[in-house]
Amino acid sequence: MLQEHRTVIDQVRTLAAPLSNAERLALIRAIASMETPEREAAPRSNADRQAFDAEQEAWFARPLVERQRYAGEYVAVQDEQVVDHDSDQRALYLRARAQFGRRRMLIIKADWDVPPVFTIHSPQLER
Amino acid sequence: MPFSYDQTFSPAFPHLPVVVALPESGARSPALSGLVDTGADATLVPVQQLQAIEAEEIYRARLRSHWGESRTVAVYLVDLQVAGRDLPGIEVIADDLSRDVLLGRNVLNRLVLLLDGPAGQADVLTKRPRGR
Repeated sequence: MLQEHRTVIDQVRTLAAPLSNAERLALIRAIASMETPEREAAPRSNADRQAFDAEQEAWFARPLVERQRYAGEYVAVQDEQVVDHDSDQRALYLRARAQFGRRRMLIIKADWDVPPVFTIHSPQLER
Repeated sequence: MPFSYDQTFSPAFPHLPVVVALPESGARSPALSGLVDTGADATLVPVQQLQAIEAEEIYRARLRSHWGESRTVAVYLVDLQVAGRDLPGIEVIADDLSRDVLLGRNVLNRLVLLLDGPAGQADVLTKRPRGR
């Protein structure tokens, strides 16, 4: 993977060599704004990542009446089972970690019908 | 204690020292620069800092810009210390592009902030100024 990254960087460097500073900056910004859907803190196998995605998708695919059982709370979900729930997210997180260790676990607000969308409203001025 | 605006930005950017900690172990990051961004719904933390304290993702969300571009992001639960104030159980988004923390309104709305632009200083107050 590291070798692949180096190859790509070398190719970009070659392509960027004849560009002006402004064009290089525009290139950097274009690359930085590209969609990167699968970055995460700890390196994970594809299978693990897909399992986590599937866990979240399965949660949102549940009938509303099932999710509403936990209205106003956060749920800890493992293997499509709600293993714990609490209105205090941090308390739930700590219990889940104590019980299941560092295994990645879905801990999400039960009231949401879809994953939340956060917005950065602050555009940067290019100079 | 006031903190000088970051003059490497133009215009200068208010920022506060931030420490990121893992709730279950107390593993902590070094003091990081936390840019004060009232235009951000959420708080972003450099992914390397989350890796270093062995934080684990708790769910995925979408993060979009003012203009509508969006990406899938990983959300983590951490404890923050902002300018010496403890803020336990804060959701943060892993940021793979920046070395700075971006303090969004999920954090800023918990603080009494003083942004003194002319003096170029930011501070977190222990209480509201009298008469406000």
